[in-house]
Amino acid sequence: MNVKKVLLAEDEEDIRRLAQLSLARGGHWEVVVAGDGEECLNLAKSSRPDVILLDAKMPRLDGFEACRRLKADPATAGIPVIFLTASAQEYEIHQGLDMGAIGYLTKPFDPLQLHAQVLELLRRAGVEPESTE
Amino acid sequence: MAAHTPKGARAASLAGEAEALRAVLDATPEALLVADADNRIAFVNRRLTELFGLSRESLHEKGLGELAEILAEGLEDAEAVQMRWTATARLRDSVQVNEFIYRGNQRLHLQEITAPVWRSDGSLLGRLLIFRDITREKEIDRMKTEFISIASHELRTPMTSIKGSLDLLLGGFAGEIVGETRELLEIAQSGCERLIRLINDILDLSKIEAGRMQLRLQPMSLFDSVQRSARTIKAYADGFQVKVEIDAPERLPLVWGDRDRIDQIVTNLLGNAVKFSPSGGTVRVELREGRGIVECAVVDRGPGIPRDQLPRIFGKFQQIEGAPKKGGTGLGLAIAHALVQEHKGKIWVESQVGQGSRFVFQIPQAPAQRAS
Repeated sequence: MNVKKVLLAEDEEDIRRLAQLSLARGGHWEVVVAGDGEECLNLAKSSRPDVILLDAKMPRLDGFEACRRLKADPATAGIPVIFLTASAQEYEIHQGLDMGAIGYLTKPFDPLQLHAQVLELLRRAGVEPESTE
Repeated sequence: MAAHTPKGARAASLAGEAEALRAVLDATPEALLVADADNRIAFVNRRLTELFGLSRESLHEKGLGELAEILAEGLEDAEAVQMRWTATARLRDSVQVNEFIYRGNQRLHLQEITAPVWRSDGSLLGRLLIFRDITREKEIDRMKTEFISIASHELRTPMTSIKGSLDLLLGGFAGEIVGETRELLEIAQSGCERLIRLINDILDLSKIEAGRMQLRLQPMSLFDSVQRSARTIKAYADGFQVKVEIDAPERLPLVWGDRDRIDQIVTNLLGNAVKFSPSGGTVRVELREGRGIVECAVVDRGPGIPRDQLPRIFGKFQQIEGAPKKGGTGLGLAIAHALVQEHKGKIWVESQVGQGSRFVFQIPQAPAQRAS
C-alpha cells in the first residue's frame, strides 16, 4: 500500500494546520482536512484516503462514534484509523482501540516524528506501506 | 455483681439491654441486617426498612434469598444479588464488599458489606449485612474524573500548538534558526516541556488519589527497569555532569510490578538525585534482595535533607527550605511515594546534611518465585 492521501479530522484550527504541515513535510502526503466527525465520514467516502487521523473530542460527532461508524460501513471499514487526540487517559485509549483503530497517538505530538509514527503504526497493523519518499 | 442480683431483676436488666441495643441500632444511619446460620433474617434495623420500603413484620424469618425476590423488580442485576444472598450465611470467610443498584423511589447505588458474626464459643451465629447508600460518593467520583479529563484535555490542546510550532521551527522547517533566535526558542521549548510534564504529573497523582491508577502487574526485572531509567536520564545527568552507577548482584528475583510505573519511580528518584548532586559527582543505584522483596536504593552526595524536613519530603510541591530552586514539577517524589504504595511496597529516605541522601524503596517479589 502506498500512502498518498491522509484524511485528518480535527476541530482545532491551529492543530489542524500544524499536523497538516508536519504530514505534508514528512511524507509528501496529500492531506485532506475535516473539522468534525460528520465531515470526516463524508470525506472518507468521497476522497478515499489511505489512512485517517482522528481527534476524539469534536463537535457534532465525536471521534469514537465516527470511528465506530467508519468501521460499520463496508465502504470505509477497510481504511486504517489512528487516533490523534488529547484524550490521554487509559480508558479513553482502550475505547479508541476497541472501536477498531490501529493506533492511538496522544497530544502533544512531535510534528517532526508524526509521519514516522503513522508509518510505524501502519506497519505494525500489517498494512505494509511502501516507501513514499 | 450478677451473682447477687435477684433473677427477675436480671431478666429485666437483660431486656433493658436488648431494648437499648435495638434503639442504638435503629439510630444507626446505615441499614443493617443479621441473617442466622440458616440464612433466615433474624434482625433488621429501622434504616433498612426505610431503604427498601418494607416493614419489619414482612421480613420476619424470611430467607435472605426471598428478600432478593421481594426486591427483584428494583434490582438492576437481580439474579446476581439473589445468588449471592442465597449463599451468604454459608460463607465463613471474613468481610466481603459488593455493590449493586436498587431502584425504589429513586436510583440508589448501594454498597453491601457482609461479615460473619461469631458466638463467644467460636460457633457461627450468622452474618451481618450492612448497606450503605454511596450514590452521592459515586456521583462526586464521576465528576472528579470528568473534571480531570477535561482539564487535562483543555490544557493539552493549546500546549500541542505551542510545542509543535516550536519543534517545527527548531527542526528547521522554516529555514535555519541560529544564534539568539535559537536560544530564545529553545527556552520557550524547554518551558513547554516542563508544563507538559507538570500536566502529566498532576494527572497521574489525581488518578492515584482517586484510586484509579490501574497497574498492569506482572513478573518483571527491577534491574532492567533501573537500566532503562538510567538511559532515560542520561542526557539530563550529562547536563549536570553527573554519572549514574549501578551496583547489583548477578541474580535477583523478579518483582511483581507494572513496568512503566516502576520505570517512573526509578526515573523520578534518579532525576531528583542527579539534580541535587554536585557537578562531577556520581549517583549510585544499589539493588539487593530481601525477604519477599527486592530493594533499590538511590544514593547521592548532595546537600542532604535537614531532619525536621524529612517527614514532608514525599509531599506535593515540597522544596527544601534554603535550597536553591532546581526546577522540576515538585511532584516527582510524591508520585514515586504513591506508586510504591500502589505496588504494596515501602519507600523511605535516609539523609544527613552535608553527606547526601539515600532514597530506598522495596517492591514485593513476583508470587511464583515467593512460592518456590
